[in-house]
Amino acid sequence: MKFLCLGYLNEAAFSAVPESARAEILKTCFAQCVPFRATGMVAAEEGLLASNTAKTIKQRGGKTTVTDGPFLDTKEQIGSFFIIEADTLEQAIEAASLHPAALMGEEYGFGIELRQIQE
Amino acid sequence: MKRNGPEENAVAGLIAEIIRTDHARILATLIRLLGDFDLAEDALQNAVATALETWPANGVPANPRSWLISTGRNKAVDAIRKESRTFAALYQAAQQLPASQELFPAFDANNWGDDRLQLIFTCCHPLLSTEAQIALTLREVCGLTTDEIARAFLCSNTTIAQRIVRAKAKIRTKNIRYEVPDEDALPGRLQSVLQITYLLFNEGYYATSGASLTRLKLSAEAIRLGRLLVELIPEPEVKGLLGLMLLNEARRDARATAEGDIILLSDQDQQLWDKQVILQGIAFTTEALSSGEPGPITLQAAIAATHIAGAMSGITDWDKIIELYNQIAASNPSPIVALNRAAAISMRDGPFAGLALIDVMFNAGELLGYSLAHSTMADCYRRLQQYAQAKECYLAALKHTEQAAEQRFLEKRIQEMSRLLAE
Repeated sequence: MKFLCLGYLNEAAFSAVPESARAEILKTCFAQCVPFRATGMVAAEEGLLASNTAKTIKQRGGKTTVTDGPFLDTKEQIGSFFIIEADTLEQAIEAASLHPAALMGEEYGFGIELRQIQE
Repeated sequence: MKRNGPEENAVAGLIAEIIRTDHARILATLIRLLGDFDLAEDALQNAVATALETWPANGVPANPRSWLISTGRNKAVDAIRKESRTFAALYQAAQQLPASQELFPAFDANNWGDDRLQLIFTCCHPLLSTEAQIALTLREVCGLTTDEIARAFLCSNTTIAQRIVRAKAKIRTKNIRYEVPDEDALPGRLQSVLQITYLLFNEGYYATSGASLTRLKLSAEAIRLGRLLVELIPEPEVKGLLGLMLLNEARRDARATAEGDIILLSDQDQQLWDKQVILQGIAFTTEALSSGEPGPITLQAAIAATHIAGAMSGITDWDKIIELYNQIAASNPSPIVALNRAAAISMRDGPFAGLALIDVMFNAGELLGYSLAHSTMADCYRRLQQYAQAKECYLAALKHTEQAAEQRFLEKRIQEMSRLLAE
């Protein structure tokens, strides 16, 4: 089974963090990635640029329109994604729970949404 | 396939030797620099791999240990740069940091102290559960594999591995610092380090389940840790703990039959006692006692030393033992200390005195579920030749123990009482 995991964060809250503290958070995130990847279940993992660089493309009035900004105008935006390969949903949750966004950053709106990929 | 030449083999041997003797110390320093267990372990692995690749051709560096540390540290810096794209927002911010505010401090080989102490304090941090403290100490300070820890505690490898992963994540996300606590917090924190060390020792000494060889290793590791602690924090109570562990360890082979049945101190074959280790234990205990007010562990060591001296001379100084229990009870009162004191009083003043004291505790609802309280009472009745009451108490004791060796011991006593009653 494959799962797409979306890492969320509150960009406004996060950009208010002083720079020196960001370095600490980066270190913690990076360190937590060691046991996360050691599960051997992480198939792909990427970070995204800030959501103000996003483009949204859809049909409006029968025409394709491209607008600046994310599809959903919410406080928490997607900041990273990864794919988990696991035998069961429980295993996938266990592995995803080791991702830094699942373990820290409550004050920055960190969190992960896990969605099974249709086979 | 590439065959290893003599150079490669010599280098591999040298690295294995460095890891065998200095793993904990090198790792402790990497943990200080990188601020994290996993980063440090990864860094050390990378440094070792690089050493295996480069040393045969370039020659072994002048100070291989320092080389491993600074290479490990630099590898971590490189890795964080390469991989931080997954934390794009964070990394952009971190990149703008002034050069003076580097993520990781550099390694100063000329000023390399011992970082193991902060590692021990981190592993025994009170925010972690006792199980986590034990597993982490064994893994990170003593260098046991998760497999060895799992065998010692009869857990699955996965359970121990997960326990360690969770403990590390907690340290990381709760921002537990790798540091020796300051003077105000030190006594309390030292107490939990000593407790974990003693627990580790007892786990290897008393528990009759688990592979005996691994058990032996647990006690040996606890003693090694005790020696390290004495070296790094020469406080009286630390010496007291080492003394206590050595006094017990010295009698390891004498305290049970080959079948695992308990042999009481007075019946032990003293030929099997390691006199050298007893002398060491007594020396540490005496040192601990001589400096001011002894703590509860030192007092326990003093009691063990008095028992041993008594068994060797044939005359036990019960006055002294009772006085030592009084001292423990004054600062750290507990029902178990009170029970041990009652047992000692029964030896000095006769079984009635012991029975009266235990009766008071039972009436207060204390120790009713504690097997040793019932068997101590049974011993008093046995000495009074009141075998029916004795048997009843041994049966009560049997009901409250899960330990196979203790069960066999009590069953033997019960049969003995039945035989005496039938006579």
